[in-house]
Amino acid sequence: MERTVEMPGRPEAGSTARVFLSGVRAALSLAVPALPIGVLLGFAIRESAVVSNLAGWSSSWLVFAGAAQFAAIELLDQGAGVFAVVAAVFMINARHLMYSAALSGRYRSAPTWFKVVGSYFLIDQVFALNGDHISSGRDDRHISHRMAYYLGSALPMASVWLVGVASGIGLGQFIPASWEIEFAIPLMFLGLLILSTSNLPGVVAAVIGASVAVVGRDWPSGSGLLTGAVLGVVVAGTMDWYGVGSSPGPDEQQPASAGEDGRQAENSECQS
Amino acid sequence: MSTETTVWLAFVLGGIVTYLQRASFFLIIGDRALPDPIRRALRYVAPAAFAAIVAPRVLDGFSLSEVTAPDARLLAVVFGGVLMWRIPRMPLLLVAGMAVFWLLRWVGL
Repeated sequence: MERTVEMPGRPEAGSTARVFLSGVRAALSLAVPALPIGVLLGFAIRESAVVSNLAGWSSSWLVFAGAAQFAAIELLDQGAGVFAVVAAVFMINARHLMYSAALSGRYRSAPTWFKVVGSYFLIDQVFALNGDHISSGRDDRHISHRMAYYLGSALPMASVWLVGVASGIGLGQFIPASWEIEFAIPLMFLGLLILSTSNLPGVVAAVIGASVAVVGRDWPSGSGLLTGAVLGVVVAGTMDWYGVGSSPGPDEQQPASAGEDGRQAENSECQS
Repeated sequence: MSTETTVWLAFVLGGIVTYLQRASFFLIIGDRALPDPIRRALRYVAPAAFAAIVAPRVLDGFSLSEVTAPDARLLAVVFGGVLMWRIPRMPLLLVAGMAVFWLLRWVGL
């Protein structure tokens, strides 16, 4: 991905548009792999007996987070209630709290309208292209260029997501059920799982999450998945805090996790 | 509450929750950091949640289709896991994983 570093001071006229376009170009390499995931989400929406096509497609601009949308549709199919779905979305999207914390310093001087709009577009790939890990926390660009690059990188992601999901819904009728194309969905989550697991507490979190979810697959309102995820996070977080199997020192944690996020978004879709 | 109302309400509230998460520090709090134990624990949300989504679909069966033999899925997931671990490329995982899955189905697993 390319990175435009501008000199400090007031930007010259017209340069903001160029920075915006360089953001668009940088995001294209992340938007292309996101397209098939959007199509898969469209398939899942089409296959769902509970979620209508319009409601499912609308989740792409309402929630705008692939993994959470997949989980929400899965839970609704299982007959889950509103609370269980919203709780699952909260859990799966909780990493956005970290993205938000990581970017808040860099855009501190941005106007409120940008923070209102920018928060909406703070998905994995936009974080990957605009986070502090890109330039080791140092950013000499004028704030208007930071904003232009951010919004430019958000544009292809949002477009591909809305079009990809609609295509999946539309194409679903041409895919024979015997192909079991929906098997690609657990494969995608498997990929996200492996990309997001880098140390022993991560493996423990995954094993606990998987085991409890299998044992509790018939529990009401998708609570097996939730219980597994919460238990996994609590146990892994405790291990991490006491230094069991994780790299030591909070100072080393931040760049390490930022690097993983970048790798994750670069190699995959992971709208998640 | 009708099913359609439940679905829309879930997506609207899920969207509001997600927006508030994204806006939490960026817009609302500013750059005060999360408490360290919570910040570090949140890094494990992804593996715990994704594993909890994958495992029941592979070991039990999909809610989306009729299941006859789970073996092709399990074997394809093991293959996909090793592949992704060695070569972390999502498109490769999806293409190769589906190819192996269909091959296993074709030979009758």
